[in-house]
Amino acid sequence: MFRKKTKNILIIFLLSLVCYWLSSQALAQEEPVFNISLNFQKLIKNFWQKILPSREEDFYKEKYYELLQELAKLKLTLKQIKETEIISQREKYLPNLISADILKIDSFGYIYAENPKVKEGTIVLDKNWTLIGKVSKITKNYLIITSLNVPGLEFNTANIDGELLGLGRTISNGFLEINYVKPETQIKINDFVLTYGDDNFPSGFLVGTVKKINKTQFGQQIIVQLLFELDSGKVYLIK
Amino acid sequence: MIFNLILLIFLQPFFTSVFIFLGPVLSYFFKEKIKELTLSLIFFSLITDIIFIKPLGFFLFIASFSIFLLCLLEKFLGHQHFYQKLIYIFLFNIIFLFLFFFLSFGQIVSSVFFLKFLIFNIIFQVIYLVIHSLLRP
Repeated sequence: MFRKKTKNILIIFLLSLVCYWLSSQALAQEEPVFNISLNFQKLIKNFWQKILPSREEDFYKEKYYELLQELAKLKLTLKQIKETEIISQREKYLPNLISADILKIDSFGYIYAENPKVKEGTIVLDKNWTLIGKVSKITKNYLIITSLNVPGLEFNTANIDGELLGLGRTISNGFLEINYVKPETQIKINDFVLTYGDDNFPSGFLVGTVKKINKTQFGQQIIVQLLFELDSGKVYLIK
Repeated sequence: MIFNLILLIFLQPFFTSVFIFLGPVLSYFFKEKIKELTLSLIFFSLITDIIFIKPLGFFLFIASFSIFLLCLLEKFLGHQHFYQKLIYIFLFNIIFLFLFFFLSFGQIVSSVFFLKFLIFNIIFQVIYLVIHSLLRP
């Protein structure tokens, strides 16, 4: 029995090796199959959402974002910033904004969405103009977005005043860490964190809020909770 | 088979940290049902490829390789080291997930992710095996 089992598994393994190699060589040919699969998964998702709607949760989430927006406006008024980057970003990018339906979200933070004919590297936002990530791969029918939930993404971050905080690194599960922030930098819990410069992402996009501040011998370490949300089933791309 | 298929199609898209097809595969592996093992391994792994948008043969490759290594370990280390099914499951998942992460990203992107996948998969497989053995002893 043992020999037969090992022999069978070895044959399957060798067959799978050939199949995997051939498939990797001709990935483009599989795109229609994957597109059908993604659309089917979207249908199942919609089916479950109709059976088990989470209206109460959505209501509170909407309330939460409204409050956040109000808070942001208040902060801006208090600081008398006439033209902050967040507002100017909206005016700048609004004509180029295009929406796309989400087809699938995987556990690594990659998002599969319909392809509204955009280029690789396109910036992706949610309905609240919070940064989701960047388009990392384009296929004929769908695109793959690397969201900020994918661990190991690095980009510069700033506070609400536009001052550089430091290099942020995504650590998965909805968090970002910023190490070696200058000790003299004034930052509090719940402060907004934005993108800075034009390295990986353009500057001025809302990323999240400060959740924890650790004092270290090299300065401060800030843990940021990402604010983007995907429950609406849509993402917005800057064409 | 049909029950497993329904599980795979309707639940797998929502539980992307757990590989549902490994439940029936391991169950047939422990019960020494070679025909069912071969069939479920090929059929379910191809469906999983399509759900996870991976090149066809990806999951078949890593699952069959992991099982093959287990068979060899069983032979060379002797049966007494593998009297606990949990040790099989643990070793299988470590090999499987290492291959999965390595072939998907070229590295283990995050140890937190790896541990999360390992724990979730072990829990799922243990529950599946217990239920399966209760329903079909």
